Amino acid sequence: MTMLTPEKKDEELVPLIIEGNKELFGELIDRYEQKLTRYVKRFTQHPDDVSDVVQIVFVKAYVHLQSFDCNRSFNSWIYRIAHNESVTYLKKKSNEKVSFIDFDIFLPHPFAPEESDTKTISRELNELLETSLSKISPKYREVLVLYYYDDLSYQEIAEVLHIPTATVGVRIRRAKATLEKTLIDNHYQA
Amino acid sequence: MNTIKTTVLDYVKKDTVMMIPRWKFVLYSCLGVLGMIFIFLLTVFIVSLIIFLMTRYGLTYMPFMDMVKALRAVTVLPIVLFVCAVLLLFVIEVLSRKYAFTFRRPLIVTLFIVTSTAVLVGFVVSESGAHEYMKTFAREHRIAPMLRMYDRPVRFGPPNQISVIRGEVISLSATSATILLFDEKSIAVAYPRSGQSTSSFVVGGDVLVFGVLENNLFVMKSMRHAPESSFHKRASVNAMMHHERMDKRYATTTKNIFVK
Repeated sequence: MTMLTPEKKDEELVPLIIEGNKELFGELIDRYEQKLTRYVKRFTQHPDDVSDVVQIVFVKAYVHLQSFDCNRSFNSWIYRIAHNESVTYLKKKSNEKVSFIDFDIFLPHPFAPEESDTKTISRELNELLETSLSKISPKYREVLVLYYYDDLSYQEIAEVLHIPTATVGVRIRRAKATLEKTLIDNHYQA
Repeated sequence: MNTIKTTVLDYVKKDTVMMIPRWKFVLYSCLGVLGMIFIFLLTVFIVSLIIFLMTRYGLTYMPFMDMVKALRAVTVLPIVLFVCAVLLLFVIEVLSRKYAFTFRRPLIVTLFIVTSTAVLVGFVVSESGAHEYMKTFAREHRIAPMLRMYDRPVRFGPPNQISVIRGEVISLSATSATILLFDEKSIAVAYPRSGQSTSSFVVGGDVLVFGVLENNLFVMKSMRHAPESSFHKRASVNAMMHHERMDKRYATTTKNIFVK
């Protein structure tokens, strides 16, 4: 992996690529390939087609690069494309119902935390999470992946999912509760 | 070099995939915003039309929180227009949801802002006399779809239920008054048996009559005058001035024809 301009931010690279330095797009791919592969893999739970989806994400990012506003976060922008592609993929391939419309976005949540208590998770819990993620709905799975694995803030997740920031907190709380319930059920079944 | 990077850069270098130019995004954004403005204006027009049609039943001159008013409002509500307005508001909400200023807020808040703005602007448009002007225009030029929109038959409430009508007094007798309703049909209004004074009835007056419909006779319980709002007065003056201008233009045209 060769970094051509390691000191430059993503938002600074975009105008250079638009001006014709196509090679620099490779640097953006280097920076985001692993992150997006992990995200798509965990979100879709279909490891076989992950590289196809990620490839489409990068192609779409390049095609729509001139629509990117350099004053905003490139990270959120490319994750938004990855989210859209993953949802499209899930709708095509998966038998499970993908619904992102819910009552979470209807009402304000004035008491929802703007940031969760802690992000650190133990290795055991991490492994447990990996195995249990597939058992919860994509809507809740996605916020957990973005927050705990991809290290995005509540504001960035809100930008990616196009939902209010307080709703992110509510979703994470519900996702954790659902996951906990799933884990307990599995434990008793075992 | 990994596969994804190789493949994507290969596409990029060989121009198999090309960037969409910025002007296209600007154009799409402008079209999107214009489309939303158009849908919003259409919604405002429909809302103002609903308010205008309901105002002709005298609802705006009745007490604010009153069961009779509430029931009457439900009876005379143009359902099709109401459903159209709700659908358009929903479309505006869905279209605007992709913008950060909307999706950052809860749906109920943005929906409330959009709906209240549409109702407020619709009310101002309705009160400005624009619909009165368009109705007159439609009648003068015999524009059938517009006439169908404005000249709707007057709806009464369920039998033996108190109802309210609004219209102009065209004749008076010892026991009843005849009122011309907004659909150009007249109705006989029987004075109350309680002996309430009916001296307020004056030929040419715009009145609200509360009563019950019994065998094509509206038995009055009470009545009041429908005061003209300043908006309506202004609209009447505007309409009058328009007619004067039209008369002058017609006179000039006729004169020119005769000169030729």
